Amino acid sequence: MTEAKKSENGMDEHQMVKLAQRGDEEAFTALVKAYQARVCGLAINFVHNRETADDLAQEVFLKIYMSLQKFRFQSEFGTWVYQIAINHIRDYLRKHKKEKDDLRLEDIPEIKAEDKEVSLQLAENQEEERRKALLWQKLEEMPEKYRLILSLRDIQGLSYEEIGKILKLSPGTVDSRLHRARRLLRKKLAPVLSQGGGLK
Amino acid sequence: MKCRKAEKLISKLLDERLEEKSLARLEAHLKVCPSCARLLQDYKKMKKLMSEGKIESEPLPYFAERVKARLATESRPSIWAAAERWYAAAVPIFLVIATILVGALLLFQPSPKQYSQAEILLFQNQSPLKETQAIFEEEKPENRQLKLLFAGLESQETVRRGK
Repeated sequence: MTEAKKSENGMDEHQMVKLAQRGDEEAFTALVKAYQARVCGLAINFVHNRETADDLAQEVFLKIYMSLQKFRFQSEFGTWVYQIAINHIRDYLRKHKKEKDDLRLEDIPEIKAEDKEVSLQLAENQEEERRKALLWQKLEEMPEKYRLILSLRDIQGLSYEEIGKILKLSPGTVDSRLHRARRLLRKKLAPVLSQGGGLK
Repeated sequence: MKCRKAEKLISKLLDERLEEKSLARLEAHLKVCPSCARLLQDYKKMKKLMSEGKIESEPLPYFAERVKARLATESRPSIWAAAERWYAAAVPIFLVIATILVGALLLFQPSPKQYSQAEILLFQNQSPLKETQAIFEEEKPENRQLKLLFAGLESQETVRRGK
């Protein structure tokens, strides 16, 4: 979150939020640019579809704009942004529980022998895509709380302290939940990570 | 060290949150446990795979501009938002005040006033003096006495009801 402290024009994030609260659209756009990748990234980890994630992220920023007056600087702006994004994504998932139009492992074609002969690079790319598809699929199978903490730590790269503030958890709980989430994912991904590796 | 404990320490190692003492214990375990050494490699691969997911999470082009366009169409000017907020707060307050007023009006409604015979006669455009005059003009004294008695009774009745 720290890299979002200064905008493109060098203005302090606190000042930008204040300006945005007074209706300055440019300041708000600067805030959108500072956080768009993180919000989109978080959304895509849950819906696995770029267009849907893009829509969700836009809705998150509309919510942020509508609620700007309620932000009282009691937490970091980034923490508040993440909290709104997480709540919005949770609402979306609850409403679209049965819709499964996301990327699936079956959508990625198997590598054929002749493909490998034609282009080794293409085959490697396909293998990479299959690995990622499997990752998304396995992440989707996990309980929401584990998926969320893995997304914030291992994909978004947030610190334990930041995750604790966003999810309102103690550092100890962040630590143990993250460990349980990783262990579960590692077991699910065992076929692509190593053959027969891991604990018995 | 048990393998389960080693796995917990591996998770901490990935986040560079492992203290020197624990790190030394883990390294000693990894040297003698090929299963956990493989586990460390698996976790490293998994972390790499996860971090690669971040690269794909870049927003679609012109994201901020599209948000700005949606704000222009979907958000209302703040003055309307403020008016709407005021309206939303004012409606229940108004309803509460109206209910209190109606209740007060129903509770404190004055009881119907008891009019005296003289007032009734005045409302009927008849002078109360005429009745008095009729009593005094009565020729027979017993009739006059009776009329006076009834008039007295009527006025006492009115006073009683007025109380």
